[in-house]
Amino acid sequence: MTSIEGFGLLMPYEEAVDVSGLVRDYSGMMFRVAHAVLRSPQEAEDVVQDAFVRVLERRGRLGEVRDMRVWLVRIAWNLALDRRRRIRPEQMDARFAEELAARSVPADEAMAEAGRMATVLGEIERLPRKEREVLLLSAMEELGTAEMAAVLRRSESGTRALLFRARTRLKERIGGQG
Amino acid sequence: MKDDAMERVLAGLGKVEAPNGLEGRVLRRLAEGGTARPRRGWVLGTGLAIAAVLCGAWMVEWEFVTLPQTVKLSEMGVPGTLGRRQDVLQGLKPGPVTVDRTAEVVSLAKRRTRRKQGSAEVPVSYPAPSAPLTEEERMLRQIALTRNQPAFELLNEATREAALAASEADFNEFLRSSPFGGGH
Repeated sequence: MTSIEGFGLLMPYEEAVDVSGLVRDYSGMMFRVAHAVLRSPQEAEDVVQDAFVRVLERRGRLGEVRDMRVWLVRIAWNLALDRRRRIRPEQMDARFAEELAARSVPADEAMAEAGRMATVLGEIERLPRKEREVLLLSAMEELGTAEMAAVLRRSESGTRALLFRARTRLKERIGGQG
Repeated sequence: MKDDAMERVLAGLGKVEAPNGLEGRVLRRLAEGGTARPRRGWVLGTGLAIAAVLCGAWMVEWEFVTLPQTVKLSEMGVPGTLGRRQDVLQGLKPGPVTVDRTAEVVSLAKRRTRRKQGSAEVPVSYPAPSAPLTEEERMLRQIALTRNQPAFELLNEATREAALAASEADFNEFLRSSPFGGGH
């Protein structure tokens, strides 16, 4: 295990924000956020690293951020969306669906379950962009509606409405295939 | 059943675990150079490094192409060592054998080999002497090997400045407009 303190990333005392502490506390959540968009562990890790480079570039003003968690998620989210333009997440979906199925059902049912999950992931990709984004972000249990709205730069009511539409549309499309 | 699948997928996305060692790798990157903001001189260095890397790669590739073809010629019935030597020496002027002359023989032999392969226009060269890569060259190699397209695009100064400006604007907008932003 790498020693976080060994990297000497503690901030000057007056800035009172410990970047290595942020890495320790939030890198997992940022990884999940990026992974939801990209579905590639390698790409998601690159996003987390790039996000903390951005954080370090702002280290002189970190004290101005009231909720560090929301800001960090927003950085990771934006970087993941930017990276998504260059890759095709659906290419990773079959593998991710297999991993999910293997964790949730017995081996003899895993193949059929993986197929169902790959279908759902495919339908998520076919949702309108705004609905898809709010649905993926809603999968993060750590985030409430107000925080999702801040990440997406929308109002809370608008975020709720988008999420409702996304879930309804997705259910209809999946149901239509059954 | 289908609704359940949707919920299970969303729950699965929300429970993905970060790979082992993620924190350490992030901290290592930050400690190694994540703190450095782009410098003006870096652009010139990058240009030179790109040229050096491309030149090196070109030379290495040339060697890889040449060596097997030389072997192939001997397999195709071209007279053996003696025949090749005679062939090479026909192009030399008479004179004493020196270090320079040896280099000339090798150079001429390579040129002849390439002419036989129908590539007479290709200039004769040697691999660059081995030397440790500079920091910029290592970064370029890393970017190329990992196919990190965003990082590659940031090598362009205008793109980099635009990205920094956008990042700054986003930060200011977050502080100004979000209830989670302004701390004072």
